[in-house]
Amino acid sequence: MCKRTHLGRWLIPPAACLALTVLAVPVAAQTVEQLEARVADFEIRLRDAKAALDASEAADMSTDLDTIRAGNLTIIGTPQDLAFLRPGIEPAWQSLRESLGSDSSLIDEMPLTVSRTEVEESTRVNMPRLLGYLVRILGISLGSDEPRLMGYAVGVTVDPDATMVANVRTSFDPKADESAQLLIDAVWSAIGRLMPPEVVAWSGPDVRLTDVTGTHSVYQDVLTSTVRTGPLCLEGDSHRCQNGLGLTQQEPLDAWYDAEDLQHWVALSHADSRFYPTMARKQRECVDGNLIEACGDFLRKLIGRDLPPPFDVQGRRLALAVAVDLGGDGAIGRLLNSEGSMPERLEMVAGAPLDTITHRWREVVVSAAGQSVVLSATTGAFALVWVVLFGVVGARSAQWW
Amino acid sequence: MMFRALLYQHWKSIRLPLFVLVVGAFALPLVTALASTWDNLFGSSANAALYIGASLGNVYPLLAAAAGLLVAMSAWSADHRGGHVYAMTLPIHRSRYATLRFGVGITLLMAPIAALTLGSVSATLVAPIPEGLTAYPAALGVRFGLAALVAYAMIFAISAGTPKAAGYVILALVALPLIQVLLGVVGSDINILKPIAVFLFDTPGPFDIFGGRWMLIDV
Repeated sequence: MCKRTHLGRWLIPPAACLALTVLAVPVAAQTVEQLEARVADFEIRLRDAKAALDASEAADMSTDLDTIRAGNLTIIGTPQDLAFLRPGIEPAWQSLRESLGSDSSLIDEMPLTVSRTEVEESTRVNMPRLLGYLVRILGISLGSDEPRLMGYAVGVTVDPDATMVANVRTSFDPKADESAQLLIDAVWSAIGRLMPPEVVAWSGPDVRLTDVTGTHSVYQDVLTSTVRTGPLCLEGDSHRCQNGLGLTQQEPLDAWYDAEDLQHWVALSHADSRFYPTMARKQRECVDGNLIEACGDFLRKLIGRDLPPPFDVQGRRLALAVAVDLGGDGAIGRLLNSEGSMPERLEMVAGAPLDTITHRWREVVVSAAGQSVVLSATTGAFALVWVVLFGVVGARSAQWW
Repeated sequence: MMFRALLYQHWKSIRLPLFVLVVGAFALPLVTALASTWDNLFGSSANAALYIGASLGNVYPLLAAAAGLLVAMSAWSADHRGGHVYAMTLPIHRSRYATLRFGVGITLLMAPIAALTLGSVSATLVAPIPEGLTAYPAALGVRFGLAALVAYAMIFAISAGTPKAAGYVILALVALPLIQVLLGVVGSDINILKPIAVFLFDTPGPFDIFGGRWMLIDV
């Protein structure tokens, strides 16, 4: 208001100057030692005030927060939020203890904090556009845009920076297996966060380090690798397996391809001569002119854009799990503290040379061959039951009377 | 004797579409297996076999359902046309007559089932199986047979009942989605279709046999 009045504009600056002068007089009258003593006193008071504030907040928090525990697994949260996880904590701990062994002590260092937020959504019914127009013309209202409580999002965070490690969208009454799975996912994700960045860069995050079952997907990925690295690895060429897994020190192009592979891959690639004349020329020189150097040039230009490694990340994850399996108790701890190149880390974890790890990895992968389940016994048996059931219903139907 | 008469009558009424189904059932596995030779298109024969096998795999359950539907829909057509007069004059109990009709349908269904199994076995003998992959002709034949039988038995049971019973089934198929829309109108969160779909399509539901991968050649 003063700024807007003519009088205020002229009176305020001199008044401020006068006030500053009056305040500065006692400061100017003090010696350096006195000032230092006062600053030290302020610092002590500030520290005491902060401590009192922290204690007050902690006191408030402790009245709100609760802890549930099963074995080494500790969950912190409000009683309402913990109620969601309570049915799942014991099964989760049993599962983790079985898969982690002595490494389950790692969990002790990572108390998980649970938080629950309400999920609100509109109840508007989505329908095809034409039907939507019709409904609007008829003036029918299907649902409303007003948000309604539809369930909860339960998130689990881990210290020190309260990073979200797992979350699930759940109904109002979650089942024990749902909350157990959330906790198991959270622990594995939390362990993944402790892994050295070099390992995460190689294998990707959230690796289930104890899952050593040969899966169809890994076998299929290695078998259908567009270069011969995959099939030759499956035939028992351990060095090819290491190439495919990215465990050799060679340049990828040299490690992944031989001359025939190079020509084959280049022939399959598409280089439009209008937009990539140089690439198209290299392709012709490679495929038609048998110039292997040109094949290398062509693929080197392609690398980094869309040329995938021979085996995808699932194979690498399986290799980590195989190393942990070979290493036995304490292997996960060794992995978390490992150093050096990836082959060195794997050897450290497994306590065995790289050839042994890749040999075992190949065995696990090959074990998935011929194990496709085209028809499970359960599905077949129930299908038969349905045939008999429908047949009986049909035979006993009453068309005539 | 009666079984043979019913079989002849049923066969006569559907022989042409059944023949088409039999040819299709025999040819489908052959096409799937021969596709693995298109390695130039897919980088390797294993890639070609898996990619084309997965794409054509969707046709197997459709073919099984079509076979079941064709045989079941035609099972009672002669009786419906004649107002069930002929069947009522026969000196046998209704349930025995229906069982005979059911058996006749199963016998006719054996033609496409056998054709597909034979086609699968032939395909694995004729076409080269890419190294590292495995052929599952018997399992595919059994699965196709069971799926066709489930489709057949279900439609047979609906057709065998009174028109009122069939009407109830159709009414349920129309009414349930409508009820779901109405529940949405009143702002309810209840989803009645989901548990029904889960029951029908998951184990041990009747349509579980139709789901999943239908692969003649797989890892």
